[in-house]
Parts: sequence; C-alpha cells; structure tokens
Amino acid sequence: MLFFSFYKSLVGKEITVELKNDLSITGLLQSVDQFLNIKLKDIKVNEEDKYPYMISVKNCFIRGSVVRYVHLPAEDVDVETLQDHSRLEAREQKKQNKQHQEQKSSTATTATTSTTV
Amino acid sequence: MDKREEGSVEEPLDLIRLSLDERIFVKMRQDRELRGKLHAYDQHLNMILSDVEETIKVVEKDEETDEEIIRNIKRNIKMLFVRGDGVILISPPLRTS
Amino acid sequence: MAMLESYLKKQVLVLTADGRSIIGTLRGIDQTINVVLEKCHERVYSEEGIEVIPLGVHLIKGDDVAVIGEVDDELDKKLNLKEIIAEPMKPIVH
Repeated sequence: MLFFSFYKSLVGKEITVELKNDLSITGLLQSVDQFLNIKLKDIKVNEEDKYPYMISVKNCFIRGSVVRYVHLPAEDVDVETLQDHSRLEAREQKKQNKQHQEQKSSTATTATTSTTV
Repeated sequence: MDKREEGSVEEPLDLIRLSLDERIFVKMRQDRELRGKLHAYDQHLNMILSDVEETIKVVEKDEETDEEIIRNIKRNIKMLFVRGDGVILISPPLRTS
Repeated sequence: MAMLESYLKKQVLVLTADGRSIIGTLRGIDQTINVVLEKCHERVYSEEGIEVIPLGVHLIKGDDVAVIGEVDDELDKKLNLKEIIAEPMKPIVH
C-alpha cells in the first residue's frame, strides 16, 4: 500500500522505468495500480538508436513484475514522510501477523480438544 | 509509543526498519550491488534509496589470452525505487555499540 | 482491466518477456494481463533490418507480457522497417 500511495502522489511527474531486459523508458507517470503496474505517456526509450523497439509508441503500460528500478525525481520525494509511513506500515503488518498467528494457534487448540473429547 | 518495540529486533524486517535514514548495502540479482540511504521499504523488500551508487560486475573474455576479466561498472542515481523481487540481501550500516 | 481499457480496439505493440515484438489490434484483456491481438504480426530485429511475420489472431499469456504500447499509426507508417537495424531485444531476466 505504501508504494501504491507513493506512486499515486507522483502522477504527472517524469520518471524513468528500468526493466529487467535493460530497456529504460522515460515518460510522464499517468497511472499506477496495486500491483505497481505503471502507465506512462509521452515516452522515450533511452538509447533509442540501439533499442528502436518502441519508436512509434507514445504511451505505454508496463507490467510491474518486469520492473528492476524506477529513477525518481528527487525534488518530488518527501523522505521524512516515506520513513514515517514505512514505520507505520511495519507496525500494522506486525499486528496483522500476530493476529493471524493467534487465530491459527486457537484453531489448533480447539482441534486437539475436540479430538480428545 | 512502546520504546522496547521500537528498538528491538524480533524478526528479520525489524533490522531494515532500524536502518531507515541510514546508508545500507543491497545485493541484487545479476551481480548488481547498491549502496544508498534507505527511506522506504515494505514486506516485499521494495525500497526507495537516495544517493545511490550501483556497481555491476561484468565478466568479459580477453579475445587473445582467453582470460576472464572482471570489470566493475559504476553509476550514481539520486533517488531510486528498487523492486523487491530482485533483492538477495540487505546489510545495515556497521554499528559501534 | 481498467488500466488498459483506453488501448482497446487500437493498434498496440506487445513486448514479450522472451524478447519478441508483436503488433496488432487489441481485442481483449483481463485481470491477469492475458492479451488477445487481432490481425497481428511479429517484427523480428536483425542486422538486415526488420522482418515482418504475419500471425493472425494471437493470445499472449499475461506472464509473458512485459510492455504494451499504444502505437501512433502516423509515426508507424513513416517507418522504413528495412532500414531499422538493431539486435533482437533481450529477454526479461528475473
């Protein structure tokens, strides 16, 4: 959720998405979803002469799972807020894991009692 | 806020939480290494790092001697999102205490 | 899939995980990014320019999709495919 929200705050900004096939695509962030799939507009592939595969494409959708890095505009990233959100989300995650564990162990106890009865 | 909860390491991800706002070392798939300051992470180990130095190890073969030459390619990136599925290990900064 | 609805019925370019370029009309798309292309062809890159291979209708499995691009038809018509020299695209390495 943290990164999904973060990317939503960057809509309209220029980013460079580096893929796991070494292709780098620069464009304006148009939209993002929970899987961190990304839509860019007005794109340019870096080193276009060497990688002319998207020469007639202006807008594109990038599957989140093929992304290696995203180069971000540093001036639009509030690191303090990100750090606070990371701590908050870590705490939430831990709470959820604990609840899940407790649920699991309580169902296990019920199961053993019912078999012994 | 519970002081003990904030500072202790109970599970692996706590180690990363304590490295927020500190420079860390990240080993990635395909012989890539990153050094940078950690600003965000989640349970998939997606991260945002700043002032990043990336080192890529490239093995080249010398055409004449057939010897393998290892070359390190470095580049600097101001602000970088790293997708967690490429991460192999994270090492926090060395602490003196 | 909501994000890709604006590309429907348009000419799109699909870059696949194994490094192929397939162009066709986008007829369908689902949550897992399975893609159906109509009247499609593959563009094969080599030292002798781009070779075009007609394919007809193709379903590309979501796992194999890397990028879907909206093709600008005007720009694309102007391309001289025989003069575009490039190595084949590298596959996605996870």
